[in-house]
Amino acid sequence: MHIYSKDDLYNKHVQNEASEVYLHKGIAEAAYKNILETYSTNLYTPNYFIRIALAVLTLVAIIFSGLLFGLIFQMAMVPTFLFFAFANYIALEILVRKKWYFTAGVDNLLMFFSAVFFTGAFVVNQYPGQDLAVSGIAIVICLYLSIRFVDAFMATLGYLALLVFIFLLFAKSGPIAKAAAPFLLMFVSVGFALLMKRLIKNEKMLFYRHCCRCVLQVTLLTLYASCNYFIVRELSNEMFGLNLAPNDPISLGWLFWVLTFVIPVAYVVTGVNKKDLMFIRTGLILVAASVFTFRYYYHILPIEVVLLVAGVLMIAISYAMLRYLSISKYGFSVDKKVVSNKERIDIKELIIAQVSGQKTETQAGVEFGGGSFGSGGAGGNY
Amino acid sequence: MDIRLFKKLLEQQLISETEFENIKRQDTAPVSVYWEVTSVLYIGILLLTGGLGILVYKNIDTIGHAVIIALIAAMSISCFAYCYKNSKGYSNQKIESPKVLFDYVLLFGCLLLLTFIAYLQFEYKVFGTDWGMATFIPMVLLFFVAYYFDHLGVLSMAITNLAAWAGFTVAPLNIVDANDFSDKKLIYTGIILGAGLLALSFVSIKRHIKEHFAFTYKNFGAHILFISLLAGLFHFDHIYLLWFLILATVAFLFFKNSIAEKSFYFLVLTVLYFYIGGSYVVCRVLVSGGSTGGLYTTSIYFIASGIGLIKTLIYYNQFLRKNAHL
Repeated sequence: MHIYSKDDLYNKHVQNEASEVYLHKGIAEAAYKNILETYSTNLYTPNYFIRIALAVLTLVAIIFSGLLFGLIFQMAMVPTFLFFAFANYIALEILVRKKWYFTAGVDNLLMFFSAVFFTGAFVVNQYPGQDLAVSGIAIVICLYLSIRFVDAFMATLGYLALLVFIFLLFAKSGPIAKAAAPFLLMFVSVGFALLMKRLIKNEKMLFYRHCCRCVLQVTLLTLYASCNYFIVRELSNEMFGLNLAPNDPISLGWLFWVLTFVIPVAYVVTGVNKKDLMFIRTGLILVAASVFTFRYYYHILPIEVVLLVAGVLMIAISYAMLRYLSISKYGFSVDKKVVSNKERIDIKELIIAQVSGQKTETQAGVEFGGGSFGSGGAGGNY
Repeated sequence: MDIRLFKKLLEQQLISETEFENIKRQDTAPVSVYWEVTSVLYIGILLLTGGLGILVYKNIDTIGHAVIIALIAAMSISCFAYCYKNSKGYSNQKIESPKVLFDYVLLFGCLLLLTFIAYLQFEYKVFGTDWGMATFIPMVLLFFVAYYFDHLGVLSMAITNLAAWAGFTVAPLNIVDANDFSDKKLIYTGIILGAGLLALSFVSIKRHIKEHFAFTYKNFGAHILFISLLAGLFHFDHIYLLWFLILATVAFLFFKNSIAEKSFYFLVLTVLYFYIGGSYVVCRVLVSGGSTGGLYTTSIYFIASGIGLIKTLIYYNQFLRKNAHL
């Protein structure tokens, strides 16, 4: 199924778990090193910065290969696109098999472009049912790539393509279907969220857990997007040619307003109940999105008052939370994590580096990076 | 957390019984929402100071603004008073902030201070038309606050102010748009500023004065210096090879330094900036050669150099990994 060996993927999972507990001082350094040596992996996942640089350079190489190929052969668009898609894919297969890149920047870019070119080949010419065909092909190709290379980004793209496909298919079946489209998309989002939750718990899906988690995160966003008043109104106006005047209401508008505000709150509540930070974070960000949506249609207060009120509220709430949770309650605390994210990257990579450094003489070993600066920006202990 | 996995590790005797108990305890430990809460606090502070700024600006000619200004001043002073009371005093070493709120109150105070000074200048022209003075005073204050209370965020604000004072706006996103790089003076200023910040970074470590500030200095310095050098390379048409030589020298020094310090961040940054400069020179040479032939050779150059650099970076990644130590 996937291109990597099971041992490599499993060992990487073990290493990740061990790193996490080690960083929280759950196990001693000697034990940690032993685990890393026993469960060594050939997968190459470099440091973040190296990954970005590799991606940029791969992009340069892909663009100019395309340009050169175009200059020399000057073929029609469709065969060119197909050729690029296969060229990228073959390069990807060979490189991964040879070097075991695993989200190393190079493989991500090659994967993305093979999907883009393949799908793009069906965009170039006009034909009936094109939009359905394109989104359908995108689903298949993304799903295949995500399974083959255990890639979360492709899984996410595949899910989004599926949503588009369902939407287009449904919208073609008449006016009632059009009105019901937001509800259908909500339904699909919820269905996928539940499915992903089940898959995450499934032992057999261990290697795809990260993919499932990413898709789950996106389902939370698509559920909100499919009933956000702004998106429903402007998208149906655009897609179905309603020609709404700026303040015209839409049918069931009140319901969408309610959902726009209820869903973020529901996420936060769910997150608190289930102790799930993903829900809490998403909910908090979407509260802001709902406020923006509201202000887009109703300018009841001048901007500075909104800023002041929001600022004071946020400071007051967070201050109260810091106070309230200073002794942990209901399974929550405001403990400063034992290690910051920056240190987390540093320590993990240095230790993994040290361990694998000793092993490289005999085998390829873990190819992690050495020390690094985790923060690209000016940094700061805000 | 994968408890079953750790059970297996326990059976394999890779971890001890106590360690397994530790892990189980970690798994059921309270979830920390520290990051979420402090992020909301931080955004709240930004919104509040932003709102106050707009409020002052909109009410500049009414009676109400005096009240607002007095309020801002009072708030700023009380913020600094709070920090002064809670601070452990100055030290050349890193000082852990005494309370969770400490860093945020200090940041709030600094943002209010900037609003206050901007107002004084806007309304009363306290510093006359001398914008140099108007940016110099807050810069000195910010540097003082950053060092005294040990705050990296305020240090970044101070450096930004320093750059503004040097006739430069260092906002990460519009660094290229906002500055007219055709102005030679600006290029030289940028080079001096960048080199100066790098020197400060060096001195911080050498003299053991707030060594943890060194990264912030180096980060700002490296970006400003490289962008200025690239601007020089593009701008001075007739002597561009000389500028390339300077760029290459600086890049080489950075390269050696990043290998010595095992810093992937600076390694990547150096390689990418140098790649831009190098490719510019190569393209100039290739394109000047001939019409379509140039296009072919340029494409081949980019493909070859792209793949070559990928190999190089992976090589150095492994090289640093082998030589890494705790």
